[in-house]
Amino acid sequence: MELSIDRLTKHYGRKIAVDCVSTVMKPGVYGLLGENGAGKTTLMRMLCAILEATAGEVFLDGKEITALGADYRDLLGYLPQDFGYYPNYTAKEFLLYMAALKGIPREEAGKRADELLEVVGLTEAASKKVKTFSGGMKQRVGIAQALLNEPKILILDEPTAGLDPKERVRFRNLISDYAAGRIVILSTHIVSDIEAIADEVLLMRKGKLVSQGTVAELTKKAEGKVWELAVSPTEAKVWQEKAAVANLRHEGEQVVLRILSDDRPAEQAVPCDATLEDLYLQSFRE
Amino acid sequence: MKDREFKAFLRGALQQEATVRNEKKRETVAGCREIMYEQLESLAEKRTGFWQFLSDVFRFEGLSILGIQAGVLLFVCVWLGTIDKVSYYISVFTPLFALAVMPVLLRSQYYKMGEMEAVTRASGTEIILAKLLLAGAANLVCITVVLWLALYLRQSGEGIGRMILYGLVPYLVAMTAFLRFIRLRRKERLPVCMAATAGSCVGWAILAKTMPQAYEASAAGFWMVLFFLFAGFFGREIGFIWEMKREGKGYGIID
Repeated sequence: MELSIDRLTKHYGRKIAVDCVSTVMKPGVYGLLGENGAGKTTLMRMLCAILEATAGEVFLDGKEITALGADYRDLLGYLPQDFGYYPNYTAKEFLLYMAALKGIPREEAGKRADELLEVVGLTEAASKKVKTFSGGMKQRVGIAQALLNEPKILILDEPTAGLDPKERVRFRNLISDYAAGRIVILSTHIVSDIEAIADEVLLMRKGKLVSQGTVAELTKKAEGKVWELAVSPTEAKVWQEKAAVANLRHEGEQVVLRILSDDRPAEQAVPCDATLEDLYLQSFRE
Repeated sequence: MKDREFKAFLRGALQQEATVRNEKKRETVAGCREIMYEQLESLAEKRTGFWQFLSDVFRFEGLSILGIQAGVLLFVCVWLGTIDKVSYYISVFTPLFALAVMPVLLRSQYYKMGEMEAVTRASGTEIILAKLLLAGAANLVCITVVLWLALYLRQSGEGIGRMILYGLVPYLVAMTAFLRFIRLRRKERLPVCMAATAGSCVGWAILAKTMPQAYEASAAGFWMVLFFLFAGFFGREIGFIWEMKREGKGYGIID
């Protein structure tokens, strides 16, 4: 299975939301990273064929996805960034409703809904109305509906938004297990989530795909550009203004700054291992 | 990888020395993975057809569709009972049945479910088509009941043909405009369309009051022309939805 994106572009009037993005995706987890307005959601919507591209095409195994129509949607699982629920449905009814739209036969739908409610830890809340759920619980129901048809292509827009750390870990494990033989594309602002599960990271900026590679390949790009510098609290304030400080922590009387810089920022600065977050911050520095 | 090739591959590997050879191990894992992917792709799951889907939509949406229609029907019947020249005012009430369909069709948009629903096998097209079928059937029953009541109140079957036209023309006008706005994704104009449909009832009432000659037998030809014109437009809108369904394309408004 191969999802191939060929010069995909989307314009909204004069604004370019996605600018000539090309890539090929094979089974694995792909993490989309980028600041707000980078074009991640627009790209995902075009991959789901619910938004028409201004130019460019998406192919699944050489076939254009809009031409595949319902057969393509049959392979898709999608969790939008901003979504709602019919308030009168319980969690189970909601999943059964979505299963009906996905064309899953009733007896099968009931079984899958129960299984998925267990997977996302909502078995006990299955008969409660979705409108009474917390944000994290709603998000988990959203994840469950995306998995109902056992999709071969799973597209998740900000899936970990609203999840607590324990739920996030559970979600990461679920996706890692699920990804075998499937294409999973997820966007999030939480770099550690992508670092933990993504086989490949796609870095987007102003609608363009600026970098693509494994976490190791990408962090290599930031190597030699991350420094740690121990300074006094007063000096720390000065450094924060004049340099790109990725992090600061207090150690006794001193403040240890994590500085992103092409050159050694000070004599006492020591080089340290780069992380994906460093690369992310470096890419979006200005 | 073919089954035969894989077996030959394994046989070859077994004849090698017992020590684990990483290169071969990697190739074996890759081979197994490829077979697994092939199997995943070939295991097409059973999916329901349109009529099963329609019955599912009825299961989930039927109560709200029928509930709203029944409420409007009750309101119309009570009001009809208080009017003298019933046949003149049929056109005032039928747009209300079209109005009752609108919240049902826009429900997913209101509750921000449109995007999620559009990515399903059914997509917006089949969902709208199914809801239209159910609501349309309910509308036909309601309009028939209204016409029967009008006949009963007039104690005469005279002019029944014209009464059907008085009822259907305003209904088709409202439904055609509404479906056209959805097709063209004029989201911002939909509330205006709903308000205009409600307002059209007043317009038809003014017409009945000020121009009663428009409801005389001599004007039947004019109504007939209007009926065929708007039935054509309505049929074209339904045709567009059917075409989208056939091509497996999306339809409707997604936020």
